[in-house]
Amino acid sequence: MVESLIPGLTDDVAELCLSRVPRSSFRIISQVCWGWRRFLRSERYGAVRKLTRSVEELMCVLVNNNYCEVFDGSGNKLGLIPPSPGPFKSHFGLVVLDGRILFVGGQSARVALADVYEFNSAINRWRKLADMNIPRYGFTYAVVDGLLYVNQGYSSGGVSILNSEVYNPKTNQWSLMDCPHRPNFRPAFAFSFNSKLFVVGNRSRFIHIYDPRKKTWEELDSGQTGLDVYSYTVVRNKVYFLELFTPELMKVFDPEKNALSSVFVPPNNKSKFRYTLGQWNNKVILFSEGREALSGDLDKEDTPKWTTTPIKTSRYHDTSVLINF
Amino acid sequence: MENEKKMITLKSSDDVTFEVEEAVVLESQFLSHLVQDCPAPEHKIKEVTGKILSKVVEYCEKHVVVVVDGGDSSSSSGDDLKKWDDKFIKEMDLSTVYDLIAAANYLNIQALLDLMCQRVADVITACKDHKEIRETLGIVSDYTAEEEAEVLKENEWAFD
Repeated sequence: MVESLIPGLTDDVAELCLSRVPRSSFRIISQVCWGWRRFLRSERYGAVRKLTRSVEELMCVLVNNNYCEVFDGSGNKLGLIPPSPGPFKSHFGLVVLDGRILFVGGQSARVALADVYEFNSAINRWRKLADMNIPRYGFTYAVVDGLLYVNQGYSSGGVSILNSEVYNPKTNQWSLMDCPHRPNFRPAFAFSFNSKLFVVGNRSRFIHIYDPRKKTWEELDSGQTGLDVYSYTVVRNKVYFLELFTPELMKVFDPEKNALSSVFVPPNNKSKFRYTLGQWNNKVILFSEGREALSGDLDKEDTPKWTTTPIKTSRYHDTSVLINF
Repeated sequence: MENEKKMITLKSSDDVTFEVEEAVVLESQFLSHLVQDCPAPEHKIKEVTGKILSKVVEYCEKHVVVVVDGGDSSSSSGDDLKKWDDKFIKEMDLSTVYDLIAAANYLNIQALLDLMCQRVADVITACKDHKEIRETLGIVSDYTAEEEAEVLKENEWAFD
C-alpha cells in the first residue's frame, strides 16, 4: 500500500501544504521520506507551487566563472548549481530564458565557443542546446520578448565579429542577423526596453537600438564618449553600471529619457576586488568579495541608502541572474 | 432593502445545528450552490462534525464581507483580520487543522483552506530537521539506512 504524504490528509491537500514550505527548507523536507521526495522532484511540484502562489524569486550568483550560489529573498544560501558541462570558460553570456539558465558561448584556452547549455532548476539538470552559428566570446546579450539576442563579440584570436544572432527557445534554433557596426566597437552591455533591444558599446557615444517588429536598427546619441563598463544590471526599466576608472560612482541610465546620472557607492577599500552589480528583491545589489553585499535604496538618487544584506559569496563573483522557483 | 436578514440553518453530521446569516453561507461555494438549488430552511452537512462546523462558522462569520450602503464593501480591516486568523490557528492542534482542511476543501472555502495549509507548512518549516518533521506529522520513513545516509549527504539545492 502506498503511504499517504501526510497521515490524516488526502494527498491533494497534503501537496498544497508541502508546496507552501519555503525553498530554504527544501533540503530538509526532501529527507523525510520517498513520497515527499518523489513529489518534490516532480513537475507537479512546480505547478502546485504556482497554484498556491508560493513561487519564490531566487538569485543565482555566478562564482569564479564556474558554478552558481543560490540565495532566496531573505538572503539564505540555498546551495549550489553545479558547473555547466564542457571546458572551463570565460567571457560567456549568462542569462535566463523561459525560466531556465543559459550559458552561451565564451572562450576556453583562447578558442571561441559556439556551445550553449541550459540549466533546468525543476529537474536540476544541464542539457546542451543548439550551437550558435558562429563561435564567439565577449559579446553583449539580452532577452527581448522571449528571444535571446547575442551581438557581435570576438572570435578566436580576438577578431571582432560584425553580426548578431537570435535564439528562439521554441524551435531551439539560432538565426544570424545583420547589425550596424562602427569601427572599434567594443561591446559593453545590452538590455531590453519597451520590446526593443538596446546595445551599448564602450568608448562609443552611440546606442544601437533594434526593433524586432520592424526589423530595423536605429542609433541613439547618448552624448557619452568615454564609457568603460565592466559590470551592469537592469532593475525596473533603468540600467545601472560600473566603470573601471570611476570606482566611487555608479552610473544610472534611463532609456526612456535618454538620461545618464551618477550615484555614489560606499568606499570599497577592504577588498582588493572591484564591486560588481546584480539585482535582488527589485533593488540594485553591490557585491564585493569577502564581505556582505549591499542593497541600494535609490528612490532618491541624491541620497542613496546602502544597506548591508546577509549575502556573502564564497569567492569572486562576476554576474548573477534571477529565476523563479 | 431592510435589515431583514435571511437566516439559514446548517446541521452537522452529528446533528448539531447552527443558525447563520445567508451572507455567512456564501463564503462557501459549495453551500452557496446548495442554498440556491434547494431552498429548504435547513441543510444537513454529512461530511462535517459539529466541532469542526462550529469552527467553520466562526471563521466565515468573521470573514464575511459586509455590504454597506452605497455599494462599498468592507470587512474587518486587513490587519485585524490577520491578527484574528493568527489567534484562530494558534489555538488549534494539528488534528483539528487537518479536519478543517478537509472541511474547507469539501465546502470549497478557499481562504480557510489557504490559511490551514499554510499552518501545516509553518509547522513543517519550524521543525529543525527531517526527524522532527516525521515525529510531528507521524510519518514513517521508508528510506533504507543506506538511502537515508545518501540523502543526508546531498548538498545541492535541488536534485540530480
